[in-house]
Amino acid sequence: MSLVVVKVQSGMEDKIWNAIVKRLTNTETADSQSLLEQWLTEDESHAQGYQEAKVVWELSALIQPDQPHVSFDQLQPQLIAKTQVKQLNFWKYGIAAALSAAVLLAALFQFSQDKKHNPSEEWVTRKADAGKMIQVNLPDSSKIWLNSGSEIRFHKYFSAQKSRTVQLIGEAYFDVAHDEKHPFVVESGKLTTVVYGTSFSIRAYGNEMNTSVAVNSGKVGVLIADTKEAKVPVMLVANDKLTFNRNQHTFTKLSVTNSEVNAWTAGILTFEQTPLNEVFATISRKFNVQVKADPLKYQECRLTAKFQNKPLKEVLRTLKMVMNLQTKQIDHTVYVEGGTSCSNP
Amino acid sequence: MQLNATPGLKEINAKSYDLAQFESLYNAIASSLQKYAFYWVKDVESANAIVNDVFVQLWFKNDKPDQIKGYLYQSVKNASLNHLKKEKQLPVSFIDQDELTLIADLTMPLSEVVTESDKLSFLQNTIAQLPQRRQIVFRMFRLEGFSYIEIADLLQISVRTVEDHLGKAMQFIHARAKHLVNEDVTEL
Repeated sequence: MSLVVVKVQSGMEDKIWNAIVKRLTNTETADSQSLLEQWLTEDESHAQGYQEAKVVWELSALIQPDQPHVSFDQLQPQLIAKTQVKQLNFWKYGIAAALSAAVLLAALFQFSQDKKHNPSEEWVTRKADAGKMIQVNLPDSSKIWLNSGSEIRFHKYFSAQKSRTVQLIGEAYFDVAHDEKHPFVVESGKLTTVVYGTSFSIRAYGNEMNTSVAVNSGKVGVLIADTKEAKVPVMLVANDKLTFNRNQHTFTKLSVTNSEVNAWTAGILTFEQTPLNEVFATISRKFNVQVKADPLKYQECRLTAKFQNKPLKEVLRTLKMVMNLQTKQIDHTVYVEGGTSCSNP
Repeated sequence: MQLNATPGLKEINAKSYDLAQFESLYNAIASSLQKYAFYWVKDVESANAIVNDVFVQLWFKNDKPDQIKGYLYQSVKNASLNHLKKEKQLPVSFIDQDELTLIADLTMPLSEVVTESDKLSFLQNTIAQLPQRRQIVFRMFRLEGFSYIEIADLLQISVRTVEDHLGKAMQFIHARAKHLVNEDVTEL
């Protein structure tokens, strides 16, 4: 019996508190008002209780939001990093590359060691895996096409920097949004390319001897570290291509056709007197396969060829025809044997 | 003392914002949205991920919504319901935590509660101890400034239930925080 009494009281208290809140929130009804008025007059402690509730309620307007579980610092990289990354199916676009006049094999270049990397700064990395080409839209609305096995890094506060700096390993084609106040800088090994709004292509794969910059439109300046061009840039205009040999520390500048600059973004694979070992590396990146070949055996061999959206099988067949290379593909590995002697190219 | 302020939410209605504004928007409302997402999905990690995605989407949205607060809540709701659909769970039965009070005692000893800001943090701690759903209702009303009807809609409960939650919340808060009311405060 007593239990029932407690319940009734508890229910009564709930009703009173509903009425109090209605008054505090200006949503009183005639019923709640008369209930509250009656309760307030019942006892002095009731009036005091209401006063306390009112003060606490008003104080509660000042409560601050809690700390989010995930801090803004964790969210922020995604606001820049999640620039729409379009994955292009490689097979659909065929093979792609805009090759510089390349020579020899190269040691891996120490990308990270070249950078004066400040650990307190945070960088965002975008990578095109083997067999993939991706388009990265930067926050400043510049566009970058990343070729297979290439990687770019940029500051997570990209647009807030004095210069729009992008670090590149591999090959990329840039279409840079014009912004004179914020020069667009591409760091690729020894070459630093400064632009103000133009389109150009840079190739700087770690395992290739040559690094190159080719310009489609506009004008860019290229600084070459450890040479006398380290301070005074080499200026390039449309259809200029600068090729830097990392071993010899020399560079050449020559004219290219406009379409050569970004041919690879359209799926065209070009080899021009390209050492065979670099051809293998390119094939490996483009088609996401491993190429097993004796590097010493082919180091004197060079290939000149152009493939327009051709599948791997076609490329391998051409190698057989031109250089008498025997190839066998097992799953994701291509074994290369034979071939004519290349001692007299 | 300025009353009836909704802290942090004043600057939200800008049509476009820079990173700093976006950050203050995030800090003002993300915690509430995470609680709101948790209300639906009952999983902290999923709730955080949902809120994260909603903010990333907002950042890249070309047309910024007029009512950002309402937009964010609605987006979190949609994402949460989609999440539940994917998990093949139906949001029919909530684990009713209403009568379970958090045990974590963050309250300061009364003797230390002297200044106005001490009072506020004591009150915040008290609110943090409210049962989960009641706490969401209270925060939505008091911090975000939603109306009864908006809260009822967002939580898919009746207006009557919203009222009950607020009444019980005040009862709870009053019982624990009434000592904050001393003479000089009462005079306000």
